[in-house]
Amino acid sequence: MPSSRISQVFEKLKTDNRLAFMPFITSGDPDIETTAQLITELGSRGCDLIEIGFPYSDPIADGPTIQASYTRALDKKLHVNDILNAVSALPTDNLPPLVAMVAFAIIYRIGPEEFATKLKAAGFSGMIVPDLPGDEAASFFEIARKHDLDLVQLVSPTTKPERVERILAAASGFVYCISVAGITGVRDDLPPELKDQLRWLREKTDLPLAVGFGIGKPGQIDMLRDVADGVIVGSAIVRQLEPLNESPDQKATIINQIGDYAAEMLSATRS
Amino acid sequence: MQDEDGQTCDVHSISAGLDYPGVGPEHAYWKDTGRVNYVAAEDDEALAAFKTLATLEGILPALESSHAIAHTIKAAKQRKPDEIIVTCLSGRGDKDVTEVARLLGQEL
Repeated sequence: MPSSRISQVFEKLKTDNRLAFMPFITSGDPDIETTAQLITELGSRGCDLIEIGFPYSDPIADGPTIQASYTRALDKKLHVNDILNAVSALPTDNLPPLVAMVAFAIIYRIGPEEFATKLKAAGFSGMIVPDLPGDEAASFFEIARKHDLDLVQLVSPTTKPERVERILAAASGFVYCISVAGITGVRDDLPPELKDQLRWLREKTDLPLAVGFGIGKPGQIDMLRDVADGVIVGSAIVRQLEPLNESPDQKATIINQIGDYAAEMLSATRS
Repeated sequence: MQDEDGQTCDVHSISAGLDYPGVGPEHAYWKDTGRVNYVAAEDDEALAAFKTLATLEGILPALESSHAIAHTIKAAKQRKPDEIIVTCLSGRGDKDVTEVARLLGQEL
């Protein structure tokens, strides 16, 4: 099987001796047009991969910032098809790989096969399904693979070693390493046990390791340089969009400000 | 209860225990296999049943159970007078007294 777009990104990063910077944004907050413009902005700044959140009414791992953004988007009647149509309209071949962060409740309702077909057709390269237990993901992993989509799996500090092995058996693209036993949201530092777990994971898999939850500052990237291959930043970006719900005229300024933030984080990924 | 995207619907019931969009897998299975016939009662029917049972028997049913009472009254009209219907009164209504008074516009 040829290596996926996501794998190619990590191979290139290894050559460049750099960590991946992967921003997360919520679709439809404050509106889907802004989401499309943000994807373009983040791509033009050189982000390595972009995670696109599909708002869900019952999020399970999201902290207050992202949950509030999901609620705002759903209150404006955002539908899954609106997201797929907006991404389809983008020149995704010229953008970094796009990964959908999407609840299995949504996938199940639409139908796993149909959802994977639509996601691939829209230009996505993979997906993260936070409410699909990793060790029950085998059949969906096959569907994803058939549609040439990576299925990124999550491992938390409380995942037992024997479960990690079962989870990794149905994982591709990269491993999403949750930094804390908790929810998303910016924190000041990183737990010391994180490095031990990352070193342990490194021995278990050849997949790149990306750390998410609680990351938002350039200094945190430096702490992970020797043990991880990338970082995921969500809340620190999503919260910058909050003022747009009150002052839509600030759109150009805020998109540019998020672009500047991404550039700052990207420069921290270089040693 | 979901919309076409799988988003959980914003549901409502006068009964706190029924103000919930999901149903247990056992009930779902019994419905699908036809073992149980599931029926619904509206808020106002449940409230009327609450009053009826309180007035006739001096028993305060929980607002959840009031839905069952409402259907029992409905079903009894289709039966002969000497037929016996068993209703499960699954909870007591003491906990609902303040809410019922509010709904009926009464001051306690």
